Amino acid sequence: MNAPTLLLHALGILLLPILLSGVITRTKAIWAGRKGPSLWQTAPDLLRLLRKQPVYSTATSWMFRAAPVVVLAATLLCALMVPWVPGLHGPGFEYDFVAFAYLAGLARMAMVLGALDTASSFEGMGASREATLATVAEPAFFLALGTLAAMSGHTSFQTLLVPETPTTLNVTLRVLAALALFLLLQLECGRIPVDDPTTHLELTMIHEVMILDHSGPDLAALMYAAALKLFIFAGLIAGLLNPWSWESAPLPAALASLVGIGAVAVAVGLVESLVARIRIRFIPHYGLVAVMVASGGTLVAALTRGLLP
Amino acid sequence: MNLLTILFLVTMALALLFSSWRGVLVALSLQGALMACMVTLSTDHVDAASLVLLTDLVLARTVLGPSILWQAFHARDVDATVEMLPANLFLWCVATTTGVAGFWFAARLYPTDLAQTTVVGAAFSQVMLGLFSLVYQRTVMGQVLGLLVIESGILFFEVTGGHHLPWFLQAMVSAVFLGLVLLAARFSAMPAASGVENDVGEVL
Repeated sequence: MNAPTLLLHALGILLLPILLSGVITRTKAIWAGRKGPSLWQTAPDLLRLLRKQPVYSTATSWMFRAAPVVVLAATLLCALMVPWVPGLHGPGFEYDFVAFAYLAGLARMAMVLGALDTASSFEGMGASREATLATVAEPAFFLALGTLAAMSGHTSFQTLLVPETPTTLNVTLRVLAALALFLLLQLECGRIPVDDPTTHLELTMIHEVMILDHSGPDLAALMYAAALKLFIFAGLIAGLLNPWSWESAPLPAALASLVGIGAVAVAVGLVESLVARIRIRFIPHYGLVAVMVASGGTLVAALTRGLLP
Repeated sequence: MNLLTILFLVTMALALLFSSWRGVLVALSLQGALMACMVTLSTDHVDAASLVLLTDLVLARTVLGPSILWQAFHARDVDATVEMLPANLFLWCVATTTGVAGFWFAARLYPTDLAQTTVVGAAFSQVMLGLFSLVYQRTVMGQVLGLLVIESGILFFEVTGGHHLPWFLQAMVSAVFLGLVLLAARFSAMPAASGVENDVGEVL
């Protein structure tokens, strides 16, 4: 990887998550008949938080202060691993998608511990929900990418997302994996119908409740990490459906990925405008739907043995 | 190895069909013993990693884990019935299809290696069974059992794959397993919330 490519990858990681949040907010605003804020509104919000002095409760320890740093660092590492354009990425190695899942797990653990450290039963409830949902989300992720890896023989993001000869089986597997990743995006990033990022009702909150006690730069780090996570999943979905790769056609590949990421943001916004939150006890069932869609790839690959090329 | 894999599948059916936490714990214990036999048969030379793995399988998975949970659930006098899969025809069809798809998928990956096909299919089915249980169980006891079933499936895949972790990592994995079991036992010993009888509380 040369310096300009790395720079482009880093620029994407820095700017696109902010734009992605803006597109979702704008979609929801337009659907509600409003003009909505600027597409870049998240940037001044983050800058405003960065200028503020953080406030720490006397009940918290070093864990509470370390949590935002660990969450942001682990999510940034995840973003470096995942190419937002197929073939364009940072450090990649064999089975890096397993390391990706572990890094995401580390970020989740830090977030949960940070929430528990406040000794607030309210935040503990959110931490418990987050940990419970992770047990359903991770198998879906491994099943979706594992099936693709097993069928294609590629074991790193660098080669896994690069488009292959478009056979019926390849396309079906990619579409099913993309669909499973979209459901995972809603689960992992706390979007409707799983969680409502704008609500402050204690009975329904998951992600937002865990960051209630954070302020200033710590809150900015957590907000940026959340946007980054959304961008990673949107980038993965766009990458899976992208017909070009960076090596063969850089400009069409980058444009197709940008359009794909934008389409995912619009889809997230539309779902949030049209669908109500599901009851919290049924959220694991929603996770099971993601697993079933992911295992649909396994089923298709198994049933079409010898039938599809 | 094939016979042991088939026995592993039988123990999985035991956990699924007996609809009792005692049945699930016995099945998990038997699976630990079967995996220990597999490691013993497949190890050519004894080193620290295989010793720690064997100790983990025999002590933690076969004896300590199931017996600690047995005592905890027994002392709490919880309801004997735990359905790993709820009695719902649609759900059973989905679960069966998923399990069979796992075997067919493995057959596509390893068309000439029946042993490897059986191993991958069994591990896949076991993990999916645990996942279904985790999603549909609303009690802590049911969720812990689901988690242990998944754990056993993943370990089965690792053991039969011939890939052993370094001894210190394996020791840490074993410690995490025992920690989980002790935490579950401790949590199930806590008094139930009012209005919840013979239950160790609901999550979510």
